[in-house]
Amino acid sequence: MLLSRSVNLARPSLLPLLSRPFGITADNARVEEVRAAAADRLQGRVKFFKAVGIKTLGESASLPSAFSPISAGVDLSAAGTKAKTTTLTPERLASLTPRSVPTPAFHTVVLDGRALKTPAKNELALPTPALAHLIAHEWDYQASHIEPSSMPMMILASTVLDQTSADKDFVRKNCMNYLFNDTICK
Amino acid sequence: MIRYVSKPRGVGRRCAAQNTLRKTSAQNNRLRTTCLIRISLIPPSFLPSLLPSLPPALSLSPTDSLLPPSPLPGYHAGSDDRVLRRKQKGLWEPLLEFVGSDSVLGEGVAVLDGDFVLGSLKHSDEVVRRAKELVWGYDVWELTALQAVTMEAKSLLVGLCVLEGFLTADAAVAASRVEEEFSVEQWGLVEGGHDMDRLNNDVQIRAAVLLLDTLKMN
Repeated sequence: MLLSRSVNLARPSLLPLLSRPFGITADNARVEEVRAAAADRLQGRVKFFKAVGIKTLGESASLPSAFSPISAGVDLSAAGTKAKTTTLTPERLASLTPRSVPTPAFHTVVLDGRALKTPAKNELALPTPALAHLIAHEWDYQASHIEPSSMPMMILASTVLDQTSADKDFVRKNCMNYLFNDTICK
Repeated sequence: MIRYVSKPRGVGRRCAAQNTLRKTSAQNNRLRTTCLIRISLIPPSFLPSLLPSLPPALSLSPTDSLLPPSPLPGYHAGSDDRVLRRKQKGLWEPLLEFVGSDSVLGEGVAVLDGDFVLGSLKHSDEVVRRAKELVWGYDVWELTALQAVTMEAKSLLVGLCVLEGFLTADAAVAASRVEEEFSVEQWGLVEGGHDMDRLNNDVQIRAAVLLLDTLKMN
């Protein structure tokens, strides 16, 4: 009896089980969404821009946007889908305000004059110019092809804007889980 | 001659399939034969007296990789284990002192040294409450940095030390890689394995620390 005969990896109903990370639910429709988002990833694609810069978010609000190739969420998390689109409301800006900068001037990165967006198509709202400069440098450092793994600050910022801000409690609980099996206590 | 008896049908089929292959690859068959010939022939009343002579399985328990670092009670650890323990203590004790201070979590952080631990740590209620208070007080940027460091170091306490400004990026990287770096020292670096782990750990933790630094540069 051949084992491979009974397991068809391409069968859609098995895909969520094979690719789902812990704690995240998924159905077939969601898998299709993520597949589509993954297809949009630009990893390895030819560099498509020439000029990189930063602007305050007020200036860039009316600019056309560029879809970010950084895909922190092809793991079925919300960041990997194109379903969610948010705009920068005052509430949204308030939720992104750091404790250390009570009245931040939000900045964003622009590629050839177009404002960069996160994988979930959120505004790349960065609370300090220093962070915007760092991310702009990461983009500017790209050679002939885009390599997202060489942009750790962009990945972190996208995680903040797409995932942590969408569900803070999930992240808090995830961190707290480590307390009871903490490496340095054993 | 003992007749082969395989109760679960899957085992029988697997053994039959293995018999068609070379004998050296018949692992299941060997295990089954050991079970039938060696173990099943021992009367249950003899088992206690035979325990000292069953070292292959039992002698591994003091160094089981699931269990905490040596030295374990009653077990004379080798010099390697003592060196590792010394390194762990050197890097981790200052962190435990810091998180145990009143300004962070206070006394009551459970630290286990040399016991068999398969369950979770029993921190005091006060420690858990203060940890929650700290974690719930962070903004989204700090929270993401905390998660990145915590997951990379597999330790919330290392994450809290970074967030509270006690650990630099260098120190956080060192604290999160004690065992693997020790293994590299002892056995050498495996290309494509240890070096990639080291690089990934370095990038993740330093990026998180840098993110926190940028929040202070307005």
